[in-house]
Amino acid sequence: MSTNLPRRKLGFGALGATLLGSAAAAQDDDNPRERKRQLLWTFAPVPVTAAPGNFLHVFGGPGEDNSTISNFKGSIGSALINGNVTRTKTKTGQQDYFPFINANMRFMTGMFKGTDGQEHPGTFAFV
Amino acid sequence: MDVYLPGTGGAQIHDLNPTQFPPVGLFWTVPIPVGGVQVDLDNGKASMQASKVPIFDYGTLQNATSIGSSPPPTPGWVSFKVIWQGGTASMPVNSTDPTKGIFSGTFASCMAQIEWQAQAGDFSFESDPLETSSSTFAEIGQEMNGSYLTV
Repeated sequence: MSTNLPRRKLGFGALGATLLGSAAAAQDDDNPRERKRQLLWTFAPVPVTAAPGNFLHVFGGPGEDNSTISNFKGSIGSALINGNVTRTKTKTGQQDYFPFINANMRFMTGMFKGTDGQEHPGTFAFV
Repeated sequence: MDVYLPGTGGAQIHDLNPTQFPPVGLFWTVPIPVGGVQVDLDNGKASMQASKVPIFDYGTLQNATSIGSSPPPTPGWVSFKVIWQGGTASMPVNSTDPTKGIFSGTFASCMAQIEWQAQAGDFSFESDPLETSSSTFAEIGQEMNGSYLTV
């Protein structure tokens, strides 16, 4: 079963936030010291508030809040990107070629006030 | 990353995102090292890259958001590089509409491209080079929301 529901059309629901950066963070093989400094959080960012009637807190797109983080101030980039990808079945080496459609990619970098009420620097990727 | 079967109306076959089911907290959002994002708003460009971000392959968006176990999500990782460029005319945006989010900022429309690699379960993925991709929507800018709007 499939859906072509664009991600940017999903609404939001603030369903609680317990994001520990050390558990969810991307790897940075080039700068582990920086990663350690950035990601050992004891607080959590606050998700943006859901749009009325929606259960997921994902706005996005022209004229909409592209930040998934509330109490945020900073720079943002957002995009829906199309292209093609080669998929390889690792056990057999079989390769297939597929489109990827409306890959919703965003960054948020700046300051935010976490669940601890304090202001913190942060850089985030929406994937 | 949303991967589909070829052709118009092709079914979605992979939905790679970093959120566990049920989706709570920061949705599809993960911290990355600060050096992974470069922003040059004066010249209308930015970039984001990250390596081996933990993700799950839910197969479809519906499974990722409302079912969660059909099929069971497969853990994996994704690496990506995204560029934004050509954003030259920043426009103010002040939204008080809760259906769009309450925020204030300035944004410039632009174009974006991506290249990415991933692995999940029995599959690895390698996108075509960055320059072969194209965006249907892209913007960069600055904004504030939440408590920053009342300060």
